[in-house]
Amino acid sequence: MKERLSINSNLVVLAVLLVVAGLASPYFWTIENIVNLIRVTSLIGIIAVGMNVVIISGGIDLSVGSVVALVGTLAASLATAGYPLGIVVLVPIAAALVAGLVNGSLVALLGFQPFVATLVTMTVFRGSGLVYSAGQPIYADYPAFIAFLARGTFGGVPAPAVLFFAIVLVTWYVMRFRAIGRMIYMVGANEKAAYYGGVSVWRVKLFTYVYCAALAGIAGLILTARMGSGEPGQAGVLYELDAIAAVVIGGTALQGGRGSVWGALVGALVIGVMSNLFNLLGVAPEWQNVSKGAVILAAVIMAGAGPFIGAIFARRASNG
Amino acid sequence: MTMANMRAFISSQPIILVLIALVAVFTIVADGFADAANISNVLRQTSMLGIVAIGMSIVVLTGGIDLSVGAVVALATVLVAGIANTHPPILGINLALFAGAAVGFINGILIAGLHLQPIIVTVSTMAIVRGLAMWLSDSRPIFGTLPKEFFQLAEGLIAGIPVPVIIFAVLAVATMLFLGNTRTGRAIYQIGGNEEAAVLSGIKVGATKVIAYTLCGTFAAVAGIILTARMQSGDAVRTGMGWELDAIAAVAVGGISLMGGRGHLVGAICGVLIIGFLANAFNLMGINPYWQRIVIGLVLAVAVVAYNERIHAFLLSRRRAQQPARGVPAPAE
Repeated sequence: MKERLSINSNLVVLAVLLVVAGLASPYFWTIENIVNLIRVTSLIGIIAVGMNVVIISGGIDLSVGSVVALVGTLAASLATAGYPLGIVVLVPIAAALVAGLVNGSLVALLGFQPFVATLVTMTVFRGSGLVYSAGQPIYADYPAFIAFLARGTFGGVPAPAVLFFAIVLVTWYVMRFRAIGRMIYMVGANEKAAYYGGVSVWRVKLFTYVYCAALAGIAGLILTARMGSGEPGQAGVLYELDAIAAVVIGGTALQGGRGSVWGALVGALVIGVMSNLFNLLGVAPEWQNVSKGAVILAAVIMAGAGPFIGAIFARRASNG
Repeated sequence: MTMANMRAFISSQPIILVLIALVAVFTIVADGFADAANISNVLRQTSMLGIVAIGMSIVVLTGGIDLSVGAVVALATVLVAGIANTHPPILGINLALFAGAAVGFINGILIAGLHLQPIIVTVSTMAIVRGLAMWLSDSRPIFGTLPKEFFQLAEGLIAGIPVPVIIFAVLAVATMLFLGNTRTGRAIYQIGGNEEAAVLSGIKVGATKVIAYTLCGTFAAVAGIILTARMQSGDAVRTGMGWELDAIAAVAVGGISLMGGRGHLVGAICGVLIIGFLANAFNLMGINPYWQRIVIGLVLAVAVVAYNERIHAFLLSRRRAQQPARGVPAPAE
C-alpha cells in the first residue's frame, strides 16, 4: 500500500511536468520531440534500472558513469582497429561485467561500504580508460549494428527505447518472480535476517553490482554509438547522480528493501522530460541546474508526503 | 597524553602509520619532496580541501553526507570576487560565510525536519547552489579588483607557516574540542551511533543535525574564501568541482564510518594529507596524471582495508589458525 502511494505521488510529479512542458513549449507534444525524448530518456533509464536493483539490495553504485566511459572507449578503439562486430560488442561488455565483479567483491567479500568502494572504483575505472587511450577521445566508424543501437527504429520506435523497455520488463520479471529478485529485497530489508534465513548474502550482493555494471555497459555502447566516438574523460560524467536521482524520484528508498522498477522508469522519465524541456526552451545552463535540483527536491518531498497523506486518509477512514 | 595512551590512539588510527610510511617512501623516491618549500606548498594547497573535509567529517559522524560542499566553495569564490568590485572585501567574506551557513542550514532543515535522504537533498542543493553561482557570475570567471592584503589569506606567512595552514589547524583543533568536549559534539556521535537511542535519551536530534550541516556549509565557504585569495579571482564553473567526493574519500580513508558514529577527526586530516602528498609526489616523479587517478584509488582502497574489522578478523584467524578461515564472513553487526 505504502509502495503504491509513493509511486502515485511520483506519477503526479511526472504528470505535472508533462502538462507544464506542453504549455511551455508548443513543440513538446510533436512526434519528433517525443521520439527524441524517449531516445534520451532510455540512456539514463537503462542505468537507473541497474542502480535501482543495487539500491534495493541496500547498496549504491557511484561507478556507473565511469563504466559508461570505459565501455565507450574500448568499443571505439576495437572498432577503429577493425575487429569484427562480435568482439566490438562483447569485449566492452565483458569489461563492464568485470567492473561489476570488482565492485561486488569489494562490497560483498571485503566488507567495504558501498559508497566508499564505488567511489574508489569510479576513479580507478575512469583512470583506466584514460590511461588506455592516453586521455584522447577515439573517433570510430561503427558497424551498422552498433549505429542501429543508437539511431535505428523499430516501426518508428527508437531502438534504445525498445531495448530500455525490454530491460525494464526483464528486470521486473526477475525482481518479482525469480528467487534472486526476492532475495535482493530480503537482503535490502534486513541483511541479518536474510543471512539467518539461509540467503547467500554475498552472492546476492555480487549479482546486483554485476547486473548494474552490465546495464551501465549497455548504456555505454548506446552512448558511444550515438556520439560516434569513445570519450574516456567526458562520457558519463555525473551519470551516477542522475541515475540515483531517477531512482529516488521513483520512490525507491536508499535504505534498501523497497522500490520497483516502474518507479525507476517514472524517475528516468521525469529527468528526461526536464532536460528535453530545457533544450526546447533554450534555458540557460545555470537555470537548468537550479530547476533540476528543485524538481528532484519537490519529488522527494512529495514521495515523503505520500505515506503521510495516506496516514491521514487511513485515520479518517477508521474514524468514519 | 601518556605514552601508553598515545600508543593506543595510534593503533586505533592505523592511517597515521600509512601517512608516515608514505612520507618516508616519497622522501626517498621523489627528489625534492622533503624540501621545506615543497612541504609547505603542499600543505598550503591541501588546507582548503582539509577545511572542507573537517565539515564533512562532522556531517558524516551524524550518519549523513553533504554533496553540496563543492558548489558552496564555488558560490563563495563568486561572492567574494564579485562584491570586491564595488565594496570592501570584508563584506564579500561575510556574505560568503553567511551563504555557506544558509545552504547548510537549509540542508539540515530538509534532512532533519522533513526526514529526507541526505544524499538526495544535498545533490539537489548542489545543483541549485552551483546554478545560482553561475547565474551571479554569468558563468564567467570574475577577476575582481581584490586588494593585495586579501591575497595574504592564501600567500601570507605567519612565523614561517602559510596562513591557510594556520586556519586549517585552528579549525581542526577547535572542531576536535567541539566534538570531544561539548554536549552537541557528543550528541553528534550518539546520533550517528544509534539515532533511535539518541531520540529516546532526550537528545535534540533535529537541532543537532541542523548544526552539523550548518557547520559543514560554513567550513566549505571558508575554503572558498581562501581559494579566491589563491586564484585571485572567482569562478562558478570550475572551482570546487568534485571536492565533495575528495572530501568524502578523505573522511572514509581516515576511518570515519559513513554509517556515522565512529571515527576521529585525526583520521580525516591524515586522509586529506595522504591525498595531497600523493598528488604532489606523483607530479615530482613525473607520473602520467591518468595513472595518478588509478594509484590514488588503490591507495584509498588499501587505507580503507586498514580499518576494516572483518579483514582484521580474517587475518587474525589465519595467523592463529584456530579456526579454518572462512572466505565469506557473516554480515557486520
